[in-house]
Amino acid sequence: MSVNKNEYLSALVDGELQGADLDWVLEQLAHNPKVQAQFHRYQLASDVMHDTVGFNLSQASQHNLTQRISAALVDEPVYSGSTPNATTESVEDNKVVPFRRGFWKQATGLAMAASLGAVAVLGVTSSQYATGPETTLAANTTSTVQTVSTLNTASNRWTVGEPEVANRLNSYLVNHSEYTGASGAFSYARVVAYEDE
Amino acid sequence: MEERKNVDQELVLRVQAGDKQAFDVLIMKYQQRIVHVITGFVHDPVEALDVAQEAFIKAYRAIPNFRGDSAFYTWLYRIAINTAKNHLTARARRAPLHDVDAADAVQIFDAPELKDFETPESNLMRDELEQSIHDAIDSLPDETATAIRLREFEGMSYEEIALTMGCPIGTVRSRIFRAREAIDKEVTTVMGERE
Repeated sequence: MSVNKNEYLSALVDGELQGADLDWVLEQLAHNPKVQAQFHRYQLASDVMHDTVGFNLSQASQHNLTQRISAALVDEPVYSGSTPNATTESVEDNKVVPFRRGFWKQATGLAMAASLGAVAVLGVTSSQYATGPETTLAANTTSTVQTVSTLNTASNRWTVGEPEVANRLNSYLVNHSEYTGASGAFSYARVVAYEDE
Repeated sequence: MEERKNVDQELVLRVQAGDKQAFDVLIMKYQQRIVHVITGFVHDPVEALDVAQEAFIKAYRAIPNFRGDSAFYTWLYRIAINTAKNHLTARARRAPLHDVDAADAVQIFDAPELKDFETPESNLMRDELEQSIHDAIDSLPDETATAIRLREFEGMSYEEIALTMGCPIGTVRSRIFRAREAIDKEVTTVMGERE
């Protein structure tokens, strides 16, 4: 049994059309004025039933808003699927979770305390080594260290050439990430070395 | 209104993928409702249509950023409200340039070009249309009338109507379509008489 094409329009008014049927209707609406007029009437009747008619019918027919807006949009760009970096108008579109009130105050206090601590430590160490030779930390440890790789959870990329090693390190990273997600520990890992087996 | 979301989101995705015509369908679907919302702020018909046009253009420009966290209509509604408010603010800003005092303001707002939408004629037309739609529904077979009432007045989805009426979704769809066909005959008659 074939379906009347207006049945698709009716379903579109109700938001109940999908897939190939929707494709077909959109194609018809784009090129067939009769289908457009039919859809307008179905939609208008629905709006009257919902008491959401904005202007009287004679005005509606004189001012076909769809045509006006389509004409106004002629010079607007056609989007290509990539989301631009433009700011969004919608607050709901913003998925950034705001920090608790007072967070920045606490963070600033911690940062200041850490800075003071660092100054104190550096002051002590520099006074201890002021007259000694230059430090050669880690200079003698390179015999067993092959490569130094730095990673973070954002990139998940290694600077290691061997795939097996990279896989092992990746698995460490994944396990670490999963754990930190649950425990609230630092979601940052720094692998300083690995050894040949 | 949740059931509207799927088609709307599909249409939004199409616009975001470069199908400008999909946006026309969104305009067709929501133009009456958006103008209705705007007339709550802007009472002049010509101005309201201009503001509606501006709101839809703003929506088109912002649509690449729409991610579907809220229903499309909710998002569009907010753009329309903001556009209407900005329009009123701009108009108020322009008003002092004409040096309008309180007495002149009364005359301006009584001017025929700034008449409210709710004219007796437009009210009569709307009432006539509403009555004809209700008459059309009352004349339908019970199952068809129930289907369209559940859809339009109770806001049920096809699935919910199918469960309520104990029939397949396809049957619901065809009953609602038959109801719309009957209503459309009345709508066409009323519009034809008026034009």
